[in-house]
Amino acid sequence: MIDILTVQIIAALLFCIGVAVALVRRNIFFVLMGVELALNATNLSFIGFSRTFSGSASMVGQIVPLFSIAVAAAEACVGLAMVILIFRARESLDSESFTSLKE
Amino acid sequence: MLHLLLASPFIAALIIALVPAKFSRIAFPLSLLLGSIITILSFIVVSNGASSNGAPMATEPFAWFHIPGTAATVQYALFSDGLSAWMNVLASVLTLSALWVSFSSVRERFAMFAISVFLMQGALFGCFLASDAVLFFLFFEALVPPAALLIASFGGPGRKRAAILFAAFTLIGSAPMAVALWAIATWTGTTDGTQIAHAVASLPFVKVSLLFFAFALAFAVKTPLLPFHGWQAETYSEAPTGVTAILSGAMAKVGVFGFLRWTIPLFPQVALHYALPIALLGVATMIYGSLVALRQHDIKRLLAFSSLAHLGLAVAGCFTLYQSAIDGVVLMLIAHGFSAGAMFLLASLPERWSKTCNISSFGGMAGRSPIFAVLFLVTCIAAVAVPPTLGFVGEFLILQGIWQTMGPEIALLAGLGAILSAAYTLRLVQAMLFGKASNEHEAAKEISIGEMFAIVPLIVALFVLGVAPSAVLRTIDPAVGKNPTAVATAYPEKPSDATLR
Amino acid sequence: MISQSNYLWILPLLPLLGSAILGAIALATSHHEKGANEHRTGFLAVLFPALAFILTAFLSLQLEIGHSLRQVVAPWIVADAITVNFGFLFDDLSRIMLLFITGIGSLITLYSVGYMHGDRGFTRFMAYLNLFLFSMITLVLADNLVLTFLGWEGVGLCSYLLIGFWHKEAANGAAANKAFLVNRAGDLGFLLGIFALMTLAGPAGISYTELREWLHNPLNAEILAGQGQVLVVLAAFFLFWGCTAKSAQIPLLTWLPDAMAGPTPVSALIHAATMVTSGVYLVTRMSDLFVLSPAIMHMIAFVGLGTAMWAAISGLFQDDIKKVLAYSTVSQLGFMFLAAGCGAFDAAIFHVFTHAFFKATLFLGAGSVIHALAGEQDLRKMGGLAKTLPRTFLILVFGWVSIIGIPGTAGFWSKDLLLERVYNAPFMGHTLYYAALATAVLTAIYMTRMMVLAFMGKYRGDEHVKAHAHESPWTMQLPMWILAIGSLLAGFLWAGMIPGADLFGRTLSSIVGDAQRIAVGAEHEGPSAFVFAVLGTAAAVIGLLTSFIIFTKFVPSPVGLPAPRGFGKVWTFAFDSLHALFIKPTRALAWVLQTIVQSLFEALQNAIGLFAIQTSDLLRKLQSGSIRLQLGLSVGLTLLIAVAILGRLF
Repeated sequence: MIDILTVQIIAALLFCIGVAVALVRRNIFFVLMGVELALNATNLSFIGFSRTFSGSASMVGQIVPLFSIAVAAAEACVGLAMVILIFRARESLDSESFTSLKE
Repeated sequence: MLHLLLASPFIAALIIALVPAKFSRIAFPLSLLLGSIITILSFIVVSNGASSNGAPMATEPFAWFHIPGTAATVQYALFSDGLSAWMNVLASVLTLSALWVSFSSVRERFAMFAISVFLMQGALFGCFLASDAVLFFLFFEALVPPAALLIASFGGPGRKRAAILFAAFTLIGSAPMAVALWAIATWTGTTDGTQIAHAVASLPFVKVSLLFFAFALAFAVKTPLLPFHGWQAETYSEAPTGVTAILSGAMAKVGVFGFLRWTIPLFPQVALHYALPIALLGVATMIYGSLVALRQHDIKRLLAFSSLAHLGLAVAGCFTLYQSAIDGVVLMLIAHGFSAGAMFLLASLPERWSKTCNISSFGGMAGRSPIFAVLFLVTCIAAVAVPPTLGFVGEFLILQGIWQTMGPEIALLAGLGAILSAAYTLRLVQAMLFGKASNEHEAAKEISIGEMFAIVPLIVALFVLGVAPSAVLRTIDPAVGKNPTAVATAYPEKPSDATLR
Repeated sequence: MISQSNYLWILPLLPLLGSAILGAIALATSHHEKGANEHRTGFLAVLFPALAFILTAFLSLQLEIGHSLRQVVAPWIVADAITVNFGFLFDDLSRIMLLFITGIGSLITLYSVGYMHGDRGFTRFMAYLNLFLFSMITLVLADNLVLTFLGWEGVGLCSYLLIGFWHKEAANGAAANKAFLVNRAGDLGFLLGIFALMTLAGPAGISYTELREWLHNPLNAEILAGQGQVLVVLAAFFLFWGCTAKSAQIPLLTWLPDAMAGPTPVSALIHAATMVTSGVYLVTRMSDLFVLSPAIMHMIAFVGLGTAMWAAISGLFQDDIKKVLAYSTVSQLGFMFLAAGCGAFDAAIFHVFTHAFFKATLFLGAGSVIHALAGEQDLRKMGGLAKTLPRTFLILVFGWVSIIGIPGTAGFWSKDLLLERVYNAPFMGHTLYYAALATAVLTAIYMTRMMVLAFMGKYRGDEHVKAHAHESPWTMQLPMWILAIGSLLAGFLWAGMIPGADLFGRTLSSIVGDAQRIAVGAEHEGPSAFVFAVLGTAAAVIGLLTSFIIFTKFVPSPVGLPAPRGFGKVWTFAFDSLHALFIKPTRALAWVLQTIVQSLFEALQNAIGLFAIQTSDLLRKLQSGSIRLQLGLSVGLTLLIAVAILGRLF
């Protein structure tokens, strides 16, 4: 059997990579990618726990990721739609160029 | 009655605010009318005190809000004894005179000016009348916005900086007092001025000292006293002169009033312990102010340092904790209110005529504007405390109190301040009234009848009260300033002990 | 024996009323081209003091020696520690003072009507004069120290207003300022003396009659001998300090010579006859207190003698006729304090009385000369005026013989009596006497010098001026003649060698008799009065002859300003230099405070403000508009909070 700890570590690692990518990359698509990665990492974490527990607790670990995937898909849609609109306004995909809220 | 008195300036401000812009020209006569009504109200309160021989007036307390985390409830309660009543008279008379004299300089935006002045007056009344500590603090802080607005909108060239300086100093100075009030509410469960003294007496000395100094700091910035006076010269100089008359004549008194009514009676043991150093600070302020005034060329800065000096002596008198000296302080506050107010109002006239405040550009006014010169000279004589003016009676009693409680050396030092005050005042008189005029070729200007109406009563009061100070002394609650451990009885235990209005 | 009176309040009120009316007239006409009608205002101006004089004379004639009238009009200050009333005491001492104050005051006001004729400020001058008389009357009529102080400061104020009367000249204003400030410095001493007395005797300390009783009360003898001794010395010292300023003694005398900037009637009234004698009055009034402190009495005597000698020498260096008379006044005041310090209070007051006559005569006469010469005051530019102005010359001769002490004149009797008492003083009486006698010689020398330079020899000034020289009008002549005759005859009120002619002395004995007995001790035999008279006359004659011989030969040339030069300058301005030692450091301190300390405060404020600005600038950088930074901060802080909470939970 795969060790629970291994799964969690991989999930945590993936989450960190995802967050790091979201914060560091300037291209908006990569920010969205990072967010997706982080979301999927939490899914992995839930599934890992599902393997550990039994009974109804195990069910939780399988249902929540389903919701999460659905939400992630919706969010990706909306996010990409907004990126298209922003791109039309700003002619740029660099997050550094959106500074209207600067003091 | 007290409720009416307190509400009246706010109502006046509201009335003027409701005047439509089309009729803005009636703002001036309307504000004079309202100001006169308020003045009459304040005189009624004083005469009530005179006829009842010093019995204070108090109102039924009305529970306002509960301070969370403590057992204290802030009450809306007003209290007026002779000291408060006379301070209210001072505030209302000076407001009226200032409005009258300022019209010529302000003109179009007079409505805004009048509203702010009335709001400031309302806050002043609140400070003098509040019986609950938090209520007092509310009005104390409420003094700042109207004053800052007046300075920033109608003042001289450096007005923005002066307004910010004034606001910053005052608010930072009173911030520890807010913390102290919270501490009092937590430790004693009450914020009622009549009960704090008893409740605090059981706390350890160090804690009470901290409370004392927090209160004292707020008032030391307001009066001001020596290390905290940095805002005064600039503020008095940049503010419109009518406003400065109110600032110097009434608002500075809130500082000394705070010592007399709130700091010393609430924490008598601490006051006794630190009386000598604080009194010495007062004397040092007096000498400092007088010496720096000697070197000023701007008349308003000179008068600002003069104010610093006079109130330094007043604070020193407070901390003698000696009955007749405290009577002297009250008299001196009234005297200084009238004389400083009159001097600033008189100073506004040459400022308007010559568009400058530099005393070397005046000169020879005795020949060209004789009535103004006579009024100015007489006011200076009253300011220098020549008998039989009220200032003399006040200074005499204070100096005697200092001699009695602190010994001849300190009395001598304080007396030097009297000599120095004559020195800078005479220098001012010499520069402004005597000698050759520097603008011989221009037409001579003279004080107008209306301005005389505004200023002469202040001067007359100084002489009339100087000859009959019992008019004031009769109305002062005799318990104010007595033996410090008994001073907590300055306030009636329950409002029913005093005459209810 | 004190009885109640209901009329005393009228005395100070009369000139006050006059001042108010005249002041109102002056203000009302202040914008007119010419002032109010001089005849009417002049009449009013003389009316009120004259009425006061008549009332005083009336009350005096009714009053027996040893009796006094008392009236408490109303309470003034009523406080815990003290009660001060508007109370008046008309006893023997105040009666004498009031008679010559109101009398000479009326005469000099009449003189001013002539002297100030044509001056635009005529009415204002008369208002000030009346205000002065009000203050002076209050000073001597008050029954307590605080009301006396009211008059004391009041005369100081009027002195300021009158010295600086011609205010267009800056120098006059400077002189007025100096007078007021030096007097203020003295007033501080007066106040401290009041406080010391209040500490000593409580509320009784300030009332003259009550203090006398308190001091004589055997119950208080213990206090006075013990801890009260310090307070007695302090009170006496501080009160005398006040007197040195008002009566121009060392070290606060610098204002009096400068005060000559005022119109001559002012110099006559205020700086010769009345205001400057307030100090002597106060010392006499408080004689019961002063004699309890022998140290202070000695100090008073020495200060008086020192002042007399110093001023007499200064008088020799002056070329301005009014300055000579000013230093002469200081010198004569020194004699008065010398007498007071030796316990001869009544002799001091007698000299005050006679001095008022002859000094006023001299000043008014000098004023007449100045008026005749259209403003010339320099002695070196005068000369030979005896023929040009014979009546003025005669008047001044009367004053002159009186001041130097020719037998029979008022000055002779009073100075003679004074010197005799000084000789008999218990402490260093002989030394003091010889020094005083030497000063009398000096007095004769400088006064004769003045007379010789002005009236003898050849005229050294502008011929044009001499051609227009004319005698003064009757308004000026009448008062001068009355006073000149007074200078000759007033002394017979207490002519020591004529038996029975001691009305003056008997009048004062009820006031100062006890004190003098304490000061001087038992009467002892000394040389007879005749010896003193001879010595005094000899001093006068020696001085007169010396001066006559010297100054008819060595005539000064009218070159440059009439100010002393060289050693004379150093000597004359010695005390001004002393004062500069106090004034300069004060100014320096003011400079330090303003430039350095104020700047320090401002720097501190700015530093605090700067700190606030820098901090906010720093924090401002967080609002950079970079999305990534905002996100990163949010995530980071959330992590921190989570760790903190989780850490606490475990």
